[in-house]
Amino acid sequence: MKTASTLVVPEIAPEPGVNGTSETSSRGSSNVFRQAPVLVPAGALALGWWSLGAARRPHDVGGFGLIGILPVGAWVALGVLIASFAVSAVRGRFTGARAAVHVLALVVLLHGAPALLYQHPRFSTAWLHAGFIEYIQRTGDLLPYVDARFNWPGFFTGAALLGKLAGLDDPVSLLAWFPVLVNLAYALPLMVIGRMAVKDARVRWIGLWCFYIASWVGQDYLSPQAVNLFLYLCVLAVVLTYFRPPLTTALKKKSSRRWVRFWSALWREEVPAAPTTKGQRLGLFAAVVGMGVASVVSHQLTPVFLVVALGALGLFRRSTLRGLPLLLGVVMLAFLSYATVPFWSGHLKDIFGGVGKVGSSVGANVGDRVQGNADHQFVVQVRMLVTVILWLLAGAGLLRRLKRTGIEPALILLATVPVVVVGMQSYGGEAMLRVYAFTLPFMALALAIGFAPQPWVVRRVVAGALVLGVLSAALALGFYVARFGNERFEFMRPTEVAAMRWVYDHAPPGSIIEAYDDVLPWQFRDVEAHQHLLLTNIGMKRAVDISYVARRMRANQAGGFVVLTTGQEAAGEENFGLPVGWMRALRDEMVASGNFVVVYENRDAWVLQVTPPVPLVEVIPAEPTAEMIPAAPPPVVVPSAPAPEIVPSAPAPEIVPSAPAPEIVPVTPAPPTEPAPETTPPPSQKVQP
Amino acid sequence: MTTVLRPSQWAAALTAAAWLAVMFSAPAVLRVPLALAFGLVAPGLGLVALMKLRKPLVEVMLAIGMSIAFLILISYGMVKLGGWSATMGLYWLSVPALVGIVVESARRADEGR
Repeated sequence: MKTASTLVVPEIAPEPGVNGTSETSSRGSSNVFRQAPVLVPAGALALGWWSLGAARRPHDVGGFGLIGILPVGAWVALGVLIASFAVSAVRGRFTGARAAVHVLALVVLLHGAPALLYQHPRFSTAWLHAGFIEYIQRTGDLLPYVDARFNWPGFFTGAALLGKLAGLDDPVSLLAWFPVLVNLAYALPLMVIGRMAVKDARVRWIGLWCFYIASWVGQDYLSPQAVNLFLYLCVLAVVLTYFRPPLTTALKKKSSRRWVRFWSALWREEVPAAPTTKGQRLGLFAAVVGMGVASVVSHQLTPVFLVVALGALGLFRRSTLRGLPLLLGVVMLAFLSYATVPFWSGHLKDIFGGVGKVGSSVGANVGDRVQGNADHQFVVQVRMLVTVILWLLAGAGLLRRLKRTGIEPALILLATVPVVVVGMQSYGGEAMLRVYAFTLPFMALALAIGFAPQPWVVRRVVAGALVLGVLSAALALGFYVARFGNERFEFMRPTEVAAMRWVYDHAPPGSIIEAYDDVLPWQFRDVEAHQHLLLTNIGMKRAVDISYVARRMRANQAGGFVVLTTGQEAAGEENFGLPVGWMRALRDEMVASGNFVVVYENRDAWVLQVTPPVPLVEVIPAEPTAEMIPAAPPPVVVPSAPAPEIVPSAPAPEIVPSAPAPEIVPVTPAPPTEPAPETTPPPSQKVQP
Repeated sequence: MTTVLRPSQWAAALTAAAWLAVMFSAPAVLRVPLALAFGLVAPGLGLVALMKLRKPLVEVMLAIGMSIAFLILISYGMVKLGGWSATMGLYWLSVPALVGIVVESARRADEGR
């Protein structure tokens, strides 16, 4: 009986070669069966790729997002891949090329599905980042008063330079495949870190698999945090590989005896740090400092996590570079003090006000997110469920391993210390998401180490494969819901993109462009030429004061436009519980008020212009397409009108860090009779990563 | 007999290819992969080659990590100092990329004497 058989394989699997060669290739390629562990996942990848690429481009998505429009071929491919993984991993040959192909296929099928399925890149913030990059490419300048992110511009300047060298003038072309590339890059430091924690290569690959299948946070779009997570992992990989003191040496030092005794009790199978010369250590130290400084100038939050993690490693004697967190902390404070003045002047309370307020921070990060309609709440609950399951399994794995062979203490530290950041900042309600992102690599590794047999003796092969397969399938399903469950407003419809291109082609420079919610493909070009505002950012919760919006636009010499899209309508329904059809009601109310006229319309977007309309910049007779519906009343176009005077850029808008989610007002927009506020409110600004 | 390029030679080769692609405005199918490979690998690889770590996985990781750090710091410096220029960026990124081969050549010349 197979289930009762015992499969014993060497405890320490052979290390994969430089180029990922495995024992399979060395045994000759003629035997197809021997190649099956590579051919099956490669076939699954090919099937999934073909199926997603050949599927009809979606025009819309349902309440649970991507999962509802995945073609059958993609499901079959994922099922075959998971089954192949479960069998290969349990049989104990999950290393080298066969493991690499499994992981590659998983990354493409999970994180690359939108790139293959959608016509345009998803997620509005990614489009905004493309706009920042395009602006730097074009002008070589920054706009620190327009957006808080421009105060940490390193990522955007770097991407602009790279794009310029590559001749890519439209950074939107980088968006679609960036998540796949950056996820694959994470594999390098994760495998290096895995080496210090576990000797068995197959356990490291299983940890990597768990990382990808549970990585639902969605911070891997073209963004500073995606690249900074890579830098964070690289720094830790170098420190743990080359600057980790052996416990036996540390024991000789009187001051550290208690720590060593403590750690020795935990860790009885130490993987020693790699030996280095003085010159190598100097070079590695310089590399670590360089990557740390690059992180400081390119992201607000990652350097904080880095300093906390390095501080914990130094404090608990798992790093000899005990001055490094101090050095990076000083660099971080110096940068914050001198280079980010536009951000923090007047907002110190927003930065440091959250220190110690753990309760309110957790509330903003957890409680405030469970809101909206039933579909959205389900997605949020799945996210929480996946997180809790992973953390519980990892915790159980750590405890299990502690009882048997012990575990590298650094792994415990890195899997837990990022939680400290929640006590410092709510980060606009996103700190818990970031904590999950920064703990996940180590939690996933802990899970693999905790439950992988060591030595690799699998007594119930079928049962083991079933457990691994079912767990992977459940996590993959959870991934699709948790990661892509908000596609109703994160998916960028071709018609929405067409509408925004029309706006940028026609809106006079200096004009105001407003939307109900920032879930549309805007600011991807000419980011400095228009003021981008939210209709609702007037201290009136989610209600819209139409007369106030009109007055604000009329006060602007170049006028203004309101863009309403299906994505915004979905966001209103899902996030704020607004009734179905609320956007059409808003549009009708705006038109009926006499303050706005519809100047462009297609099946997913309305563009309204304030009356009296300012002449449009350029009249481009659009080719009639199936997506375009003549607007009523017809577009207000004044041909050959003199170009409007360019209004100097608006007064520097006040940057307001993103506040906790506003209270829901589940009613249709406020009537125009409501008195408008006297003072001009600040334009919408969010400090978002 | 197969000849395998050393890391410093890879860095130099990528640098030369990127220079040619940028200077002669090569078609996108050539220029995009060459420029991306150069910017994301070569500056770090040139310095990693000097460390002689003999761990390919660590060397590749460090090459990419350090290259990204160079990209960020050099481009940020250019913007802050008001000297934004793709050509200048190419110059500055080429310095660390070529350090490895220059130092190795100098060492070899010393050993030859």
